[in-house]
Amino acid sequence: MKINDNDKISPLQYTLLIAATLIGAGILSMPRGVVEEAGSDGWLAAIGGGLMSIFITYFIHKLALMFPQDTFVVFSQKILGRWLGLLLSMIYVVYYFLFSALEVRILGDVSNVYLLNRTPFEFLMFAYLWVTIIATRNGIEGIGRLCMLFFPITLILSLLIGLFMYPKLDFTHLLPILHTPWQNVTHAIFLTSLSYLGFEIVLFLVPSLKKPQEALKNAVIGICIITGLYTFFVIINTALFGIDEIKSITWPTISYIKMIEFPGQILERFESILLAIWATTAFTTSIVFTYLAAYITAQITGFREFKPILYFMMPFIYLVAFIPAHVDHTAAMGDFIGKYGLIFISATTILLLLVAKIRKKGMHQ
Amino acid sequence: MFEFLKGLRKPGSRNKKVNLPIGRPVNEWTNNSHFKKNLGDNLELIRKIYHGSSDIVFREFSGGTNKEFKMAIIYVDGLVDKTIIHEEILKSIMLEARAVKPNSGISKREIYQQILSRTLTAADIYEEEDFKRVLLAIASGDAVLLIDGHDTAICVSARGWENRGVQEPVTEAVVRGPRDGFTETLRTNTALLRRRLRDPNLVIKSHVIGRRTQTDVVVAYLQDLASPQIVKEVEKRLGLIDVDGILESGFIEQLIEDDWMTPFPQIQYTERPDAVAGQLLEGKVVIMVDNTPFVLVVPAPFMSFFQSPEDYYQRWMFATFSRWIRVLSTLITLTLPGLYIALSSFHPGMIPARLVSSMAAAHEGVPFPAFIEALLMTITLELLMEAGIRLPGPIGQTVSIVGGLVIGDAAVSANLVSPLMVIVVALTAISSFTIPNYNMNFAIRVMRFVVIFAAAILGLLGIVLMMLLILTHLVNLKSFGVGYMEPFAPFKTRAPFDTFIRAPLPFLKTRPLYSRPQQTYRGIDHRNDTEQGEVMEKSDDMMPKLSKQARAYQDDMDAKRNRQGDMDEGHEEE
Repeated sequence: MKINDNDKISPLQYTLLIAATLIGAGILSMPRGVVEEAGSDGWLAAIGGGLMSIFITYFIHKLALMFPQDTFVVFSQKILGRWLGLLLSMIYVVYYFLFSALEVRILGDVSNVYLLNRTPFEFLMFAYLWVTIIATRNGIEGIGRLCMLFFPITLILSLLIGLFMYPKLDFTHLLPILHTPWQNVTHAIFLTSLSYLGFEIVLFLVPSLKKPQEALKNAVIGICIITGLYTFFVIINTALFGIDEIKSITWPTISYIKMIEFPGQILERFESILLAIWATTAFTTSIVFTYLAAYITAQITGFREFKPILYFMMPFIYLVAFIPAHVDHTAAMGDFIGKYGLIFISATTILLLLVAKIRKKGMHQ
Repeated sequence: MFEFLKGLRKPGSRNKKVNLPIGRPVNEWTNNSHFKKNLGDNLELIRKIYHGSSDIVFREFSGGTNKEFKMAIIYVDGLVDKTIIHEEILKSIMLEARAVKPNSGISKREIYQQILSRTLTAADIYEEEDFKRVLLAIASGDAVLLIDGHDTAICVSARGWENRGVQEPVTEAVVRGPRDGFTETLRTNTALLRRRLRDPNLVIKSHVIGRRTQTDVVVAYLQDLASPQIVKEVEKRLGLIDVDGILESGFIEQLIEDDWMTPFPQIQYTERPDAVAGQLLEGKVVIMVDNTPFVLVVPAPFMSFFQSPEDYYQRWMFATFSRWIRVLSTLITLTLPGLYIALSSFHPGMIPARLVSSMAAAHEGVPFPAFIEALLMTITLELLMEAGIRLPGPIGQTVSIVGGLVIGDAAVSANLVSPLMVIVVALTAISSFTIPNYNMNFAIRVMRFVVIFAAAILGLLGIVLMMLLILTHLVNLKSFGVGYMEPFAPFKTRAPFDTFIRAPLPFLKTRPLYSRPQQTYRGIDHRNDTEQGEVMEKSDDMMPKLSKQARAYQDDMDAKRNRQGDMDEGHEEE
């Protein structure tokens, strides 16, 4: 029984879904990548990355809203013809599939290093993947509601993290401003926008949105929140470690958290708790990606239920998560997927938009 | 989380084909018998149906001057108020009949009307032609009057049996608030409600459920408040129930709940009439069952199980504080034993250095790991609680003293458990009792074990992953179509105002939206309005978006208030 079509994604839910999808494993390593490229202008690059993703998001929403009743799988076929459209959708499946495997792997690595040294990370990954599958099984509405519960917690904790270390922050590390050569900054912007990947989920969610006409506004708000959060993290990390030190740390944010001392010494090594909670942040990303991987496959193959596909995918995600040999390898794989994913998303969006205009498909404003 | 078991049996699947109407006739009792004109035949038939049961009383007598009118009264001994039978039926018929003059010429045909309209002095009487309904009336405690030559029975409501009377509810104690609780008699219960809500919009609809028990089940709601969809859904689900007996509202609860494969209750129960009245005012639907003081309330999302009626009687800071305590204690109940295991076995580095050394000293000599220790103590605790409930009062106290003090102390001195574990378990036990609803209390207590296991396997990460699973499960539950985690997910405006805090009453101007009330505005006057005769400026940001209907209602209230204000001023001038 449905009352007041509760089972669709409300505008607020969509905003938080976007925000929760964007913020994932990236927040741990991103400050290093940005500072490596842009030095003290890293925080500007973080803002730039946000602006760039808003720019791409605009086109993605424009494309998605031309077909408010269809997902990407259907409308790409309408625009480009059956086989080309299916090919693009399949690339999306691979992309989401690899991404969810990557998230699982990063969580396994991080918890193995920082939380449970003696537990084999194969088991950690399995437990994590299992929880992901269970949460994904209930469809996008359940995922939206979960994000709604988790994201405020993430936000509040992130701000608290900043506050706790305020006395130790040295903001002179952020100077000089606008000193880095522009090529580096552009490259850094490109790098950071990898951390913003996830804004394209609207391509597959339009039919489940309660108010598709507000989607763009909500997505932009979501991205802005995340831009603020990422910039905040780049600033506090740079201010604490300085540019030279940060480059040598794999996960600067974790090192940052490790330095927090809980007032009154009620708990020592506060980072264990925060990392455990961070798992929920990565979790929201990985459930969305896993869901999309299964959902798009279901749409391509014409299955009415995505659940069997989800169960079928589970062992493969698990196996793919084993591919990277070590931590740096994982990071490289992340960069690889992100880079080509971003190029693919931007290119296909613009291509589809142009072809749709030329062939006069979909709704035009 | 338990959906994988769902294939085993689908609730209601057996009933899907036949959608029987509520209050279906008692086909099992009779073979489509009906009344005959002859009194003897009728009595014979009823005697046969009751198989000569000794508690059914057949009183045959004659009326009229020449004793020419044969009649009989049938009732169940013990279910009727005998004074009504004596004074209002037998006495009036026999004396009145004697007073009729011989030549007044009342025929056998007229005697029926005569008795119905003039003779019987009882207040509540009705005619019944349907044989099955008459049988039900007898079993319900009505006295049935049969007159020779007529195939219609006169039923006199003479219900009166030994009952407990209105007493203070045991399971939901409050410091401040009315002391009356529901009883086992449905009529008393509806009366308790009606006394609180004199609004004619209070609808009390009767249904009969249970093939053999023929239990009265009442659906109550405020006609202009409760969501018609939820009311319809409740009646639909009640209509699908097909069992032989409803002995307690728990039967109904389990037969109509949305999801049975979960420890979390989706229907609230209470034995406090004031709580029910409050819920009705929030636009919820109430199900009352005869023979039990426990009344069901739907829809019941997660947060409603953490509210006590007292929250609204106390001043808001007090109420808010006790709600925080409840949230805190829920978290303690759920996670404290798990946290203890996680910290002591997986992350000892997190515990401050001085504490960790004393913990290690206390654990010295204890042969078990923290997980076994925790399991041992928690299970002992559950044993004690179960034993305490089953045993009669005084012995129950002994058990809790022996169990709690003696076993705990002895276990520590015998080095079976560490003292810290005893503290953890005791704190957990006390915390679990602050949850006002026993159903939810139980759910949290069960989940505590799951968290203990998760913590034993994966430490802190295990607890977090288990919390994720629990939340995933909660978020996907529904209570009569309403999201279980409302008003948080899906988020409703003003969600925090009546959940984590209990806002001051003047700010609680709207009903909770999760019950989908037809009117969102409560119409509570702000105190300043009437005192100074000014209408306070309504800040729109304080109010959720009102529906058209609610807006009209609100304007109406404003207009009325203004008029009142004008009249008052005019009065003063005179």
